[in-house]
Amino acid sequence: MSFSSPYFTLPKFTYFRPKSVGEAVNLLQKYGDDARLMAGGVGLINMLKERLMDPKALIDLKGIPELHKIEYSESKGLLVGATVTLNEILANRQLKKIYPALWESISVLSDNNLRNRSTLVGDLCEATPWVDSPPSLIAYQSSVIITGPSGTRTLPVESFVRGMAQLDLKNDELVTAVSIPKPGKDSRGRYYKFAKGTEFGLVNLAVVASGYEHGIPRNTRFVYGGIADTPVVATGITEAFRRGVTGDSVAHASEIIKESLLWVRNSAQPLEDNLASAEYRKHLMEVVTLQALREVLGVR
Amino acid sequence: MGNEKTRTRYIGRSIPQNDSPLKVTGTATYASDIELPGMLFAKLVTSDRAHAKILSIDTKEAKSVPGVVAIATGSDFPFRIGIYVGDRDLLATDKVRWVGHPVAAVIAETLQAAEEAAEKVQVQYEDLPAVFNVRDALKPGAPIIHEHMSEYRVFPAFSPVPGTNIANKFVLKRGDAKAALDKAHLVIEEEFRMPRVSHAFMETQTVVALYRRDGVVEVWSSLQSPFAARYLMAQSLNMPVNNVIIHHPFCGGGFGGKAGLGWEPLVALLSKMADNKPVKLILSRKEQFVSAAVREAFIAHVKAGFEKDGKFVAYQADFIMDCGGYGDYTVNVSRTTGYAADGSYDIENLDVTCRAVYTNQVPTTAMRGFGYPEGHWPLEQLLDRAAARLHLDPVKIRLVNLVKPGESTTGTGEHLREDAGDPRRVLSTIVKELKPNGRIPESKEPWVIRARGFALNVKGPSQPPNASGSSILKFNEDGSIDLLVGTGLFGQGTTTALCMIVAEEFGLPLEKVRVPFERGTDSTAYTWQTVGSRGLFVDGNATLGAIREAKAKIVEISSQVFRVPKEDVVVRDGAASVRGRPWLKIPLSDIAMAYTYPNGNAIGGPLIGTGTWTSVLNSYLNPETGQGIPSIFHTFGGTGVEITLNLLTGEICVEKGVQVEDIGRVINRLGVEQQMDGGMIMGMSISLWEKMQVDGQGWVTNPNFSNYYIARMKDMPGEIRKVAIETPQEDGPWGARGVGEMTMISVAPAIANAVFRATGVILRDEPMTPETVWLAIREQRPDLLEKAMKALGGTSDTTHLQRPLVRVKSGQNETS
Repeated sequence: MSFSSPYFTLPKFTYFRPKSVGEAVNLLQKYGDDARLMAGGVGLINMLKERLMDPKALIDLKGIPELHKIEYSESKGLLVGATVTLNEILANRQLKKIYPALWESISVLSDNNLRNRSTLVGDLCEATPWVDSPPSLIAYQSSVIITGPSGTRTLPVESFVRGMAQLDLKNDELVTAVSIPKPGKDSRGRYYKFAKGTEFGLVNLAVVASGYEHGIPRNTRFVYGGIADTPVVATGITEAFRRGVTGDSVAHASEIIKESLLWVRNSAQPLEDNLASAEYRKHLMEVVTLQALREVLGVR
Repeated sequence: MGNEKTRTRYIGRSIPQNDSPLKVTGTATYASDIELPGMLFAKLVTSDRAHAKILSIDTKEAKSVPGVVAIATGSDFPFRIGIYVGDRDLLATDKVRWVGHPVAAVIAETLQAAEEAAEKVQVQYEDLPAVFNVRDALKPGAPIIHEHMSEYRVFPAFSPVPGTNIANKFVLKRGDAKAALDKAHLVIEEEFRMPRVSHAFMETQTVVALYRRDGVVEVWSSLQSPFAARYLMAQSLNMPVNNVIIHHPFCGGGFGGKAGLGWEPLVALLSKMADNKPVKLILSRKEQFVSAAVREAFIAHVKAGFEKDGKFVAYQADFIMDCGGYGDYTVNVSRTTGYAADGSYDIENLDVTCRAVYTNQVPTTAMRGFGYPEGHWPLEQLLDRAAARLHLDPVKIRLVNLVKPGESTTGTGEHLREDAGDPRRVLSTIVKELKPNGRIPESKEPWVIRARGFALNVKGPSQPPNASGSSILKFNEDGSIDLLVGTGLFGQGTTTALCMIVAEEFGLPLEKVRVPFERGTDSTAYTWQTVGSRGLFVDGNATLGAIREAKAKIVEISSQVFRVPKEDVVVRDGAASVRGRPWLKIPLSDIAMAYTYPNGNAIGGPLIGTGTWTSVLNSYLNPETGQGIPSIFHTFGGTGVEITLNLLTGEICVEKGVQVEDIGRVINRLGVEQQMDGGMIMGMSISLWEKMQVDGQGWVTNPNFSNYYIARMKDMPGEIRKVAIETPQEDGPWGARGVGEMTMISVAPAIANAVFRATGVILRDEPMTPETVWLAIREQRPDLLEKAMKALGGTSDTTHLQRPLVRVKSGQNETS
């Protein structure tokens, strides 16, 4: 995962700054695999310095006005354009109330300087396991809007990100925005990041819960980051909650906790790297899951 | 002059560092800012093998890159350099010794061209068996990393062992440790470790060199010790010392990593190769991690013997240091670790061995603390362990064993002078500020515990016995002063303190005294090096000598002018006057360039004072026993911490720090406090998080600050209390001793001791990352982890959550 270039300079490439999405798509069609898209450039510049890629054309999207839009409506939810920076999202305090898990995951990402450049869509398209925002986007059931020569298509984020640096995106397509639907009325959300003594979360967890009955939510999404090449949706935990929403809430809360932990123990297979062992990550998953369960179930 | 406790104008006050305005306005000039006409750029080509024979280097394709001027390889520079053991080649000759070893250097008109060409240099290797840890390197039949060791130039104090991988072996012996251990009431045997860490200075090493056509070499370099670099460079290039000029611009941090000689001779020779055009080399952060030198790693196997009353009777320690591909400075770190292994304690029987061993890893060098953090990591933990086993208080066991200045001799047989400092007062001050046995507030979450711990430290400069310093003080027309001192300036604040001393002594306003920030070896006074917390002591004493000489001249002139005996003349408030007759007074500006009588006759001349300082007490250490006098002073101090420990995750947070040092006399209070803050934070960062990780092939896998974590603002302790104790040392400037490195030494063991006191968990390895602490808790106190998990996973029954899992009491561990 390390970005550590011996070089100060960038490899040679031609820099393009298209003014419309159509122009950008034309360039993509022309250069194909030799083109790279740039929004904030935070990840890209590092990879260029490291010589991990050697593009002929670098297409800077920041000159396209329509990609720099951030819109919220009650009916459609939130739409974040491809060049909207993280700090531009954080500047909207209303979003903290509506999407607390997303807001928290953005606010803990790196530092203020990087948040001034880094974009939500760029972070997503980097498709690296340690980026904070994708688990939250998945927890809120977000989709990406993709434009290519044959038009526009929409794809859920969890199927868009296929693996480490792998996207469901053709070389003549670009992501123009990410769409985040409005969560249920009684929705609660939290983002947990375990990152003491590391820049990257060893285990991240985005939790969104709604549809409360007797203190237990009917719909929950527990999405883990930092533990595998792509964010991991804890289907077992979602199921446990669904089953738990009948009858006496106190009795079922303990059942839900037990089942959820069982899912972590039996189904989660966290990765091992130079930040942490798989064993430690699994332990942290248990700890953070318990913390999240207490929060969601209101156990203090 | 000196120690009298009179009212002072500057000494003891808080004065902002005089180099701050240029730094905070971004106008200070660093080596990377230097641009000379026609300047070229250099780029290193480094090894991707840990240990391999170089079969061939093909530079043809690289040379075809437009703008490339020349490409140097090891065979262009067939000689070795190094401060204590000359084991280092400028570029690898014959073979490479670690991944990152510089093999070639490209010189080009632009950095872009140099980097492009560097990628195109083709090196053919034949792999040799590599060795990555010291235990393997010491085995018979291990691959030998330096086959030609017997030919190396070696400074008298060091003993490499040709035919092995041992770069230096140091032995300290006193009494009969083996016999004493056999008889001791309690023996603790243990192994402690530290990994390689980076100095993590903000400015990477940067050199601009110009090999002039008249044979003079000019260098602008980000370094600590201009004079040592000059001497070592002249020696390695076989040229007269005065043909080497080292310019010392602002330097963005050193911490020992820029002491001695770095890339200067390489870049100078590149300049010569490039038709005498200036050449600039800036290391990238990755190169700084893998191609330059870092702090060594070590393993220490120790055995400590105690009597029932806590008396520390015997200490057997075997330190093995991994000095990597070359030993350079680390041979002296190993010597220092050995001779200082007994810390501030009087241990009758000592048997300490410290070996520096070559491996196929990144080379190592000096770093803040220089062997003392290494020695204190085991030592200060052993005391707390023994205290627990003997049911003694950690304070009590230290009181039993602390050296007594005026009575004790150190481990090397040095009679500790009466005014060496007051370690007992250091200890009582830590107790007062930390209250290690006081009530500790419980945390809100039962799986998080609060704990307090402390450790003591001591350190003196580790330098050759004849290391000296000098100072030149020049008066200007208006009575202002330029002070010329050779001590390097990289954020430690020595020059501000020296200006304060001069201003105090002459009674001048501080702004009338100036040390030029950017200095050259041909334009300032000599000092051996800027290392070991020696700057204020050595250059301060030399400056006092210069002040004395200038004052004597002022007194001589004014006694003639006033026609009074010299004894009646006093120099103060920026003037010379006659005792008892204050109306007889000449401002220094009237004497500075020659005193002129009303008739136009003049006496005196431009006022100049010079001073020098050399220790007359130090000696080499006996090669068999390590006995002798290595240090010019010892500063005693200590660190206390209050931490929170999350039993579930192993996270340690330093909530509060206490820093105490007996520094003899405070010159600049703000400077002392800044060192104490800096030492606390750096010590905390290194002991909790920092570690260079290496894979099975010898590649460093985290050579950047994303993956090599150093403390961020969010990690800062809530409070750091800082206390300077003042037990003046008669031969120190105004009674002062050094303080720079000391503040970092005891942070790590203080944290480990806090964890041990609260949980009984022993932490043998740095860094104490959450994962290693979690593993240690799981292994040593699984009950605590189990309870913590239960508390968190508890159902809606929350009654048990209010109780703490661990109750911390004085000196004892008790679990609920």
